[in-house]
Amino acid sequence: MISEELMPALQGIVPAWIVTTSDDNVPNCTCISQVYPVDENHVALSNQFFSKTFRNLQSNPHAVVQVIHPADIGMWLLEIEHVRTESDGPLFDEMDMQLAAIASMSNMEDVFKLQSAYVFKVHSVTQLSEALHPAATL
Amino acid sequence: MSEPVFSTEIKQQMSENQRQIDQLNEQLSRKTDEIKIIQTISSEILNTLDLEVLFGNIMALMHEVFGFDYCMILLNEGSLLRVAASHGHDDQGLGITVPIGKGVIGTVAQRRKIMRMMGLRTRRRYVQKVTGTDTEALPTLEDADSQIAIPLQVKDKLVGVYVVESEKANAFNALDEEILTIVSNQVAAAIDNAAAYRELQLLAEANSRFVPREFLSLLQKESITETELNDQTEGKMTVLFSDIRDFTPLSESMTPAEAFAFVNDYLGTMAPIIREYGGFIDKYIGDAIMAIFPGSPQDAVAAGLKMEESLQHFNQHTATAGKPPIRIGIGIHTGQLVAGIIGFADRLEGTVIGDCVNTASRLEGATKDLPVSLLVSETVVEELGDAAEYAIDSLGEVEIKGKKEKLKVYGIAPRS
Repeated sequence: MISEELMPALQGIVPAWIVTTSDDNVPNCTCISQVYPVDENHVALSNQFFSKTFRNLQSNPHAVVQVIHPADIGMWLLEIEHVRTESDGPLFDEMDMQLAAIASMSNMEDVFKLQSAYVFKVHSVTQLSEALHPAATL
Repeated sequence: MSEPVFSTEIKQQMSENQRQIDQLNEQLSRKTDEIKIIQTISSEILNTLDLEVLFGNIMALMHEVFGFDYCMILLNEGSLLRVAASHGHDDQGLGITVPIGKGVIGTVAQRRKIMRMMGLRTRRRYVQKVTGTDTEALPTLEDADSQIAIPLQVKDKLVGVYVVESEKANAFNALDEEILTIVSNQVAAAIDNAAAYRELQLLAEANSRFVPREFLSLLQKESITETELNDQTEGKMTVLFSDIRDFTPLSESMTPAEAFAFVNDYLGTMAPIIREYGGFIDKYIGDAIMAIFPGSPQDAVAAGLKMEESLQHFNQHTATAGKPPIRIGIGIHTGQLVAGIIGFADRLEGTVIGDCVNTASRLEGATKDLPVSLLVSETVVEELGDAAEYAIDSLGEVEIKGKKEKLKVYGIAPRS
């Protein structure tokens, strides 16, 4: 599902957007620094602060992220579903390490701590142009 | 109409088989490439103990074989890493340090894991916006936007960090990371070996200042590690003794530190002359020098005369600092000597022993009562041959402490 072609969009080069909904169906859209590739069918987000996004995911695990390909600024939509939360292990370590590397440049390594890695199953990957004009792809 | 369906299935199956075969072939070809890379690296590129050559080879490898334009090697110095080699950077940044735990490079060193970081500029801006602080400049390419940093480890020891950079945001992929992972162990081992070898050379060099190489070669040893108690060799050699006349009253007018500096200045003038004329210094005894000349006695005499000449310059130099001139006495004698390792168990010393040593020392002492500063024995004069360049003065016989027979002695000066 996550192709080689999409990989550059999952490197944190251009920030991504995520849309979640609250338990009373109010949508929330926020900017996130990186959507991490996990495997062919999973991505992960870093939870550093207790934000509305992560509160929303407790009641509705479904979300949509928009990632941007750095080469052509092409936008991709991923329908994702929160399936588990990791606070140790290789994925957590890798994400935590990246965060520490950047944060330590501002001596903020104690502030910017990864609380947990939210792992999502990817249900669909669509280019935004296809999503907007589905007929054009037929 | 079942036949066409059957053939479609077969076609699909064949196409699927072909896809799998292609995939396997691709994997095999990739493995073969990996093996080739590993073989080339270990056999040609990393096969040197010269650290500078090794750094050059690694940089060339990364540039020419893997296409990485900007690379750095930082060596671990405990709490920080120091840039030891770099390639492609305008300002090479050698010697710049990174604290362990800071930035991409420091974090890789701390956690001992490879990191591939893209979009560095965006990420740093993000932290700056959120925290309101500036990020610290690190020794990277001015506009580095992508980095791979990999720990160089030998077993549990962190040798350093290897860094590849690019000003492009999306310069590296998983394959680059894989290549670096493959070569990093070998690179680390090669650097560690070369660094250890350099350390060993420095140690050997330091050792040779305490036990001269010439002394070891007399014992037919390559290194001090080969020597043992009772190692010895016998032969005809010339011994030169020199001493500063009346140094004790002179030193009393100085602080201990001044006296120390004065002696080192003096020895710094005299010691190179010994080597220049083919001798080596067996030991210093305070301001006195005991030197051995394994070759001809003429070497020792030439060295002695040169020492007297240099003393004049030394005195002129110290006079400008308000110090009185010094005089030295030199005694030279040739005879049978045993060079060997003496001492016991954990405190050994290489030295020469023989009657000849005592005689040379007594000759040096005898210059106190004679109008010459360089005194040699008859044996030395006999070996000088025609010695047209020297003025040799017979000064009669002197009594040598502990000897029944008197010794014929000669003063030597350059023929003017």
